[in-house]
Amino acid sequence: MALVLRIRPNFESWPDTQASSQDDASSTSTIARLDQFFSQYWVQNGDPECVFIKRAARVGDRWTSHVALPGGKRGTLLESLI
Amino acid sequence: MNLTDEKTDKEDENDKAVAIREVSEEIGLDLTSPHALFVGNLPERIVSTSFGQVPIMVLCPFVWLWVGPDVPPFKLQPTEVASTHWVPLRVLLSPSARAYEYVDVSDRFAHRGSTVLKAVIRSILGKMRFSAIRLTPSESLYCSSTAEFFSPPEENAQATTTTSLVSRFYSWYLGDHAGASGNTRPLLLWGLTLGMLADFLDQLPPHNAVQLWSYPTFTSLDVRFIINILTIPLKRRNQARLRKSGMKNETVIDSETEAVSGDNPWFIGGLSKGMEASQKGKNATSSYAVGILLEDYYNMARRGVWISAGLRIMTTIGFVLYIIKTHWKRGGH
Repeated sequence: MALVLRIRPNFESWPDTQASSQDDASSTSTIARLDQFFSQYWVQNGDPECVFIKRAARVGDRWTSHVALPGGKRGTLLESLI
Repeated sequence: MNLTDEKTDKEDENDKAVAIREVSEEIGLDLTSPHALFVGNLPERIVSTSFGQVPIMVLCPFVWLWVGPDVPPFKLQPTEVASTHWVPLRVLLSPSARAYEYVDVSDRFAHRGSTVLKAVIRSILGKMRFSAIRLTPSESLYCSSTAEFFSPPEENAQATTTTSLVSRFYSWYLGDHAGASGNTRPLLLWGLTLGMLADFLDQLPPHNAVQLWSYPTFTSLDVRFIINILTIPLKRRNQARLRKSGMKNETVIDSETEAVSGDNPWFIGGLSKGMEASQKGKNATSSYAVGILLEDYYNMARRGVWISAGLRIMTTIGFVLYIIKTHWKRGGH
């Protein structure tokens, strides 16, 4: 399962449209990329968020309609067991 | 942010690949994108059930940070995902967002006991109460193609006429809120997912996520009272252990939530046997916070349930005897 975080920009410090192209994925290390990312003004003034899913309503699913993290894959395994 | 990095081998890459694939299938988000920065993983959790002596699955939470101002629109898989919700971390951290989820746990062991036993246990326990967080999303997306999202009124009308008043009252009183669908219900994060997030959130200031968490208990006041009394020494001990391990290394978050972390409502199958099973499936290294707090808690809770059941039966017998006695006396005069 995945905990996906993002930064929601604040109205007062909205990023430039060019801001996203600053990031160079391949060459630098994770630490360097994090430093680079968090040095941006819109990130520093932004609001960190994470994403949840609400599972679909399904008969026989123990976690039917539960709030969960995406990428869980829990249903399939259980259904075969119960 | 300190995330433990326990697994570094191939297996880890496999689990990560599964998570990437599942996320892509469920919500259509591509985590292989250059904007998805992989930052680490949370400790894996072993989920066990009461009837499976073996742990049924391992959950491996991986953490990504989207580096860029815009996340591409999600594509929700209708059979798996009803909606997605972006929630600010400060909402998750706020004491005011704390709530409870009430779950009818007697359902969970329907296949174990008879209906009578089930009803008796249900009347004793009431609902089970779990610590929860009420989510306030900044952005939500609903899978609008499903009947769950919006169904035509004709279908609804039919549904309401077929449920009698009695059964509606019954489901209102005992209904499993956690399983209820519909958009009007508040979004509650609880159980397994909360257990996993609690340790993550506890890394963030004001470091109170675990403090805000409370022990699962039952709505019946007598059961709750007895469990509270029984678990005082245990809670104190676990709290001390948590503090101690926290001083040693604040970044330690470790496995096994689940079996214990509350989402295992069918641990209650433990009224007969299940709890031993879930104890067995326990990970040896349970040094993460909620795991420490819950250590042995369910054992005690089960004892509390039995004690209050015994008390209720004795009270009932006593009352019946008293009635018979007074009647007999009156008859004697």
